[in-house]
Amino acid sequence: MKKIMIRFTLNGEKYEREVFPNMRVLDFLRNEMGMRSVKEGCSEGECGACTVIYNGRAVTSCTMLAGQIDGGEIITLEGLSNKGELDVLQQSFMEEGAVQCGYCTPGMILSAKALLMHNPTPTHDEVRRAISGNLCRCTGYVKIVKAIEMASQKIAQE
Amino acid sequence: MKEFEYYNPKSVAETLNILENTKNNNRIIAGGTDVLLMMNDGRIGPDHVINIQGVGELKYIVIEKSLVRIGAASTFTDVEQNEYIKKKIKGLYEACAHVGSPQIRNLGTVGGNVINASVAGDSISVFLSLGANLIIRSSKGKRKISLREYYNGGNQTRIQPDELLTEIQFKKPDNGVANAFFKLGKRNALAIVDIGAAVTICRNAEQTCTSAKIIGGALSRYPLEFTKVQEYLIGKKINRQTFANTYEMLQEAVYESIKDRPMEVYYKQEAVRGTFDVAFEDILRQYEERSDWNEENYDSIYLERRKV
Ligand code: FES
Ligand code: FES
Ligand code: FES
Ligand code: FES
Repeated sequence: MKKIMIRFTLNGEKYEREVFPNMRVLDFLRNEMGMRSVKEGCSEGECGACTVIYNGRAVTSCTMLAGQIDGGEIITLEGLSNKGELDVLQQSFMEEGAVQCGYCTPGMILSAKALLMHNPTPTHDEVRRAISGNLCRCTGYVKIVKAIEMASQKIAQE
Repeated sequence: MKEFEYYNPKSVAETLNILENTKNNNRIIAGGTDVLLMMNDGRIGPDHVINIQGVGELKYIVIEKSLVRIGAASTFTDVEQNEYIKKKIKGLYEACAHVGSPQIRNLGTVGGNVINASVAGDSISVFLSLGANLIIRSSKGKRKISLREYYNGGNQTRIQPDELLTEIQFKKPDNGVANAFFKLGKRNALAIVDIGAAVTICRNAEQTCTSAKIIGGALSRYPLEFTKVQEYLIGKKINRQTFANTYEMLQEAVYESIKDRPMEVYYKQEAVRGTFDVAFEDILRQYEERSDWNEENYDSIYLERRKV
């Protein structure tokens, strides 16, 4: 199979890579780029564990081919913290106790991040809607929603 | 996933050329949300995969004087965020706003929804109720076909391997038209549409119904057109009682379409009534609010051409 060349930005850095076209973005990011925060859950676009931000919007990386990110910009959880300093969402998730097993957390935070990028002061319903494609087996969502609202308040106070 | 050759065209012309040269076994992906799953679990194994996500020409929502035109590669999010559609074509807005999850709406396209027509195609029943037409192109030319004919015509009318769906268009609803959609789903996000009710009503100044399109999604294999209900409504005053009179006809039609699946009949007969009730109520509400509407100038609102 002929490899294809893709150029993309990942967490602010520009890259150029050759990939087999039948590789999913999920596998590409985990195995070729070392982005282990990107989790595989259902592999069917249902659970949101594999969520990344692609050109400013949350998408499921298990439903995309590597070729599709050519020319695009990707953000994973690794891109949120800045030299060891946590993103306000990560901080809020910790303070609010919104993490149990943690498997859903990277995708959850990225869905929330995409929301706050477009809408820094979302309503309660907007928060719930933004994470409606991210399943969590542990927390019951209440603390997750609270954590996102806390982050939004912190941003507003800054 | 099986091996294949990958193409990343930037224009419609280039896409048509590739389609022509790969027509023995190709597959188009736009968002990829449906097709990728089929490739991943081996249901399909194309030798050539053509990604049209980068074809900016196919991403637009244009509101013309008498026509609404939606480029096939517009995402559900694009449609949902269009102010005109949100205000004036409420059923289409509702359907697109509730497809899958936010992540899927950011990738999935209306064109893909029409072509891959699983019964899960929420937007399809609304497009049918709006009397939509498809514009399909190939390197040999262009054809226009009504969505209804597309689904009813069997294999000949379906998209061919050298063809590309470029646009979904329908008559711009005027002030007499109300369009509603309600979906009864198992869960809010992620529900493969369970039962969907798409309704488009046109009434005149006397509040009499002049045309009605009543479509049920996910009731049977393809969207179900309730022709008896449509005929009944024409000429009647549009009010709560008129709609209530249609319940029996709706239930009968559901029975006819799925009577070979007795386990579903009971549940779906009940559900269809409740589902359409919500859609009908929405139609009535829209007509009540109608006096507040003023025709703003929405002509030619173009989507910002972005990649997702
Ligand atoms: S692994 Fe992608 S949505 Fe579940
Ligand atoms: S914390 Fe365990 S799945 Fe959400
Ligand atoms: S493991 Fe899920 S119910 Fe037993
Ligand atoms: S605490 Fe995570 S599944 Fe029970």
